[in-house]
Amino acid sequence: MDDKDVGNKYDRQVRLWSPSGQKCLSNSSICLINANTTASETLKNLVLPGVGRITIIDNSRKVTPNDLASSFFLSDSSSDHTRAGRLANTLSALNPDVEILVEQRSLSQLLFIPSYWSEFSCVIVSQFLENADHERLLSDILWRINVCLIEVNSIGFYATLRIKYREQEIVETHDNNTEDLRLDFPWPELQGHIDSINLDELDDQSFSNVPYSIILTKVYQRLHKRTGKRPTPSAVRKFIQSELRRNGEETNLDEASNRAILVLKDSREIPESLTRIFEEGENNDGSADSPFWPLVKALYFFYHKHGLLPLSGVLPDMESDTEQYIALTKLYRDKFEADKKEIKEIFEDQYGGTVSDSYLTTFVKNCKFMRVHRGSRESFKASLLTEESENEDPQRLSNLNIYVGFLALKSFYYEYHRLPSVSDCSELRATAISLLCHYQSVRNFPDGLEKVLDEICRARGSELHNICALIGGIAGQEVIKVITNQYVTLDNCMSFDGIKAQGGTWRI
Amino acid sequence: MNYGEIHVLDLDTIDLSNLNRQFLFRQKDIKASKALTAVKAVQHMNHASKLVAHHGNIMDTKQFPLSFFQGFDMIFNALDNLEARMYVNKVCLFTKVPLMESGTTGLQGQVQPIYPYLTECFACVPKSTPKAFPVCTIRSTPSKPVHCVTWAKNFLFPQLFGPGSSDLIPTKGQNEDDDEDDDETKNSLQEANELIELKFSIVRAAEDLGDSPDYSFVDSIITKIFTEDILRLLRMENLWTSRSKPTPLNYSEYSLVIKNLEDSGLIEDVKLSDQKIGSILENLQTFVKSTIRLTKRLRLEKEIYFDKDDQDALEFVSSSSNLRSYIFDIPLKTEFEVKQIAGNIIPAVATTNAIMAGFSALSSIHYFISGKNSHVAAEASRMVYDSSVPERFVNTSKLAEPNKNCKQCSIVRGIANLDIGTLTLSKFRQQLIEKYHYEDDVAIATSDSRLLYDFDFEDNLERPLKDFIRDGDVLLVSDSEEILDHIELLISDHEGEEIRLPDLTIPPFREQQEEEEEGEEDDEIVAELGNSDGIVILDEEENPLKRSNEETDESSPIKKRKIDNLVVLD
Repeated sequence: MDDKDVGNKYDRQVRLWSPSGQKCLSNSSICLINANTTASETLKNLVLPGVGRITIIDNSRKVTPNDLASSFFLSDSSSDHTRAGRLANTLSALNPDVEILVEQRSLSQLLFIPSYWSEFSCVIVSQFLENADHERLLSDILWRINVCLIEVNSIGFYATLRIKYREQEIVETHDNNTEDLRLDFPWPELQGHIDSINLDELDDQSFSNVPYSIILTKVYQRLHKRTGKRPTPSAVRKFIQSELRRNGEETNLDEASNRAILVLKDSREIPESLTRIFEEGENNDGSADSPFWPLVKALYFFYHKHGLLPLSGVLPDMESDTEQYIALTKLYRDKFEADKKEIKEIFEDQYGGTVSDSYLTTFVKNCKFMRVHRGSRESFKASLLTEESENEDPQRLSNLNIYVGFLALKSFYYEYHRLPSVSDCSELRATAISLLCHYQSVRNFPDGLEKVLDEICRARGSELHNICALIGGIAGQEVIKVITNQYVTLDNCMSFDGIKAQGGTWRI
Repeated sequence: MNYGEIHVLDLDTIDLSNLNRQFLFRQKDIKASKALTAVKAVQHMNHASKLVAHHGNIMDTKQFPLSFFQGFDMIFNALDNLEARMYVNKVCLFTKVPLMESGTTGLQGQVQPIYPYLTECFACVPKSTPKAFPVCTIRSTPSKPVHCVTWAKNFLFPQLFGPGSSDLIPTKGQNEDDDEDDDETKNSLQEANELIELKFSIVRAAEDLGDSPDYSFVDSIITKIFTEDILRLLRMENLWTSRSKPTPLNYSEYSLVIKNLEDSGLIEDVKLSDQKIGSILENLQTFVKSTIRLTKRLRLEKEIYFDKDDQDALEFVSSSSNLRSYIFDIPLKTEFEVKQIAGNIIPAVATTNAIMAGFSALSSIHYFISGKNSHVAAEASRMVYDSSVPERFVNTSKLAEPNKNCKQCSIVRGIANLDIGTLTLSKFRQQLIEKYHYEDDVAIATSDSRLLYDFDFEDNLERPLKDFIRDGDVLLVSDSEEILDHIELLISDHEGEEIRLPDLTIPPFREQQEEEEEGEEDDEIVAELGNSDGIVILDEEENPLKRSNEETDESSPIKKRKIDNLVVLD
């Protein structure tokens, strides 16, 4: 396949994460531990969009009848192969671009080679490791080198997903609100342009081609002058209707009325997530290889100086003629470039670094909605259950119970080296109680947890293909977000209840 | 899940761009039927369910008559267009078969279980329709890239390479009125006729392009559409009083370079990155290259329809729309962007499809474990949609009640079995009045509002129904006394059989709702392009086929349960 063919094959997804995201994918290396059905469904979703390489660690397990029953990617004829080998074969056929390796060494060997893990962009653990020591060792290694660890689990109708990632800075969050019109704070050139348009003198045709952002700014300023206050959308609409309407068919005025709500948007305001990033930026010297934190400082300096963020330069489509629209586009683009240049100068003067133009452009365009996630390695937070029961959101509580249920299940597994069945209900319950005591979060056993534990026992450790496919889809999506560093990653825990078709997320 | 029998329907064949999300298809399957390949792939996985593939259009009543749908316990929709979705929704309303309606776009998706008349149907919430552009904007006064793309794709391309019309259209009377509209019409007519002549030249060239290719026809195409047509538009001065004027392409600046490329045969090697905006020369080169390639293909293919995944067609549309944009001082677009505009492309990824297919299959359990009780299932089922808000991954809501004013499901309907060959309209009318106890008389019309009978239109009474309708058509019956409400009857033809009308409870008459409110433009996915095929498109889903659970696990929540038939549409 030549380049164009590769482009065509991935066309529908490149539209989501652009060629740069696709490049991150094809350069990535993923490690997966335990090749059960959930794992194979997750991997399918990574093989199809074209990650670079996948390494499967499965400790030479053989295919079991249980695997055959629930996995799409294993068939009868392959019973004599190792599970990982067989899975690798089937998956390879899905996409020749992806290299799939089966690790011959066992996990316990590999855990003593910390350098082994540094090549991975992401490590996925499906179901449980052999024991708590393995879990701790692996998590220690990955945390130290800041590699994302994703734990995914599915039993019966339940599933959970947990992300343990020390730090992630997401610039391209793909927020839908990057359009930045500056209705309330036009910069001098924009103001000059707006003033140069005298609506009363325009003939009907030109009048109906004035972009709505200009109309809204004019109305905003007129009303602001009158009342000294930020006008309300309804006042703006009324003004447009009574003072600007001519023949009633001006589509630009329709647009202006429909978007009158924009006058409430204060251009000086920044989201809480950014305030927190600024605060953190104060004390963060960052790593030498990423310009992110120095840029955050430069951005803060800029914001402090101007009271505004740099312009995003993103202009929505508007009813207009080419001439007027292009004039407006140029104003926004020039201002964006000017702001970008200023950020660059601050960055270079004060922090003496270098930054590529493409990174800088992405940074400035998306800075308002950037996110920094600080992960956690803890399995549980004592406050969670008390908070939840106090907030009395039964849906969240029931989802949290599933997560607690899986923690209990893991302890059970570490202790007995098998998954519980119906006769183990009381043991599992005891495990759960001691677990909750350990986290000191029980005053009383949470409502509904018992039911969840019973359901887990009833499932006897079996995976339902359907639920695996679903959680595998979600896990795959999160891995892609981590690798491309685009879109907001789950922060940092979720559970899914297939009986109620209900998901819940929270932060630990 | 061990469904007894699964039928898979799809009219499409596999394309390279499907492989990024379809684990049942391989590189070698490209151009094969999707339905057949999917079934083969799943059978290969040692499936216990009986799988049947159908390669065809779901809306083809010959291949898929109503009786076909009646044989299923459930229908899974994974369709990519509004028309087919509406159609299947209607079929399910007639047959009362539960429907799992699903779709994805990018990282978002939704699954809506529909239990006819118990829950909201697909038509209950108005769907936004794509933007339409006035013809004159497209033909004479474009101001946005999308106008130029629409022109290239829906006007120029079919005219030159599609079936087009090959008859010259007579120019209307030579009236000298300077009215803009009329001027424009005349202008378009002349343009159209010249295009038809160009088409002839292409057809001729297609036959001749052999040993010593003569590419001069490409030059005349360029000169005509990018210079002469623009000059003619410029002569209509009233178009430009308040608009900036276009600048006709000065082809002589470029023709020599192009000529050299043609002569050296290098034109075939022109390749522009689809992520970069090309210069005018590059766009011209691409235009020439794609025109030559399409013309060559025309010899074998006779007519070519635009397909976003047809590289030649895409290059042609991309380059010609960019040249037009340049003329009208509109920003140029990359080929990648043009593809999105022209192809109504909705991004699609494996992950979202996996999640939604999982939900879709999961939702069906409610119906089957309740012993196929729609009431119980409707109560237990949830509508699922995932949200882009990172704090809430999955949102669910109870199924809403049917919209009382829904054009589709608020109407009482049923299936009438009869022999359209022998049953006369008069007999049919009599049966209706007897069966449903109409006070006096009824009016009968076809679904496209053709009146067949009412009290002062009796001409058709003695003719058999086959003169007006075919098997599978719908008839509208209304009460002339306006006591009972309208009903819709789907006619199922059974040769030689007595008429059997369905048992219906007809509610009292309601005023017909006047025109529905324009669907407020909300977050619904709006396709960009306005034209006949510009429907809202969600790219196709994976087939939610399930692997059988071979272990009979007594404690498993869905133990081996005998589930009958279902159909999957893709």
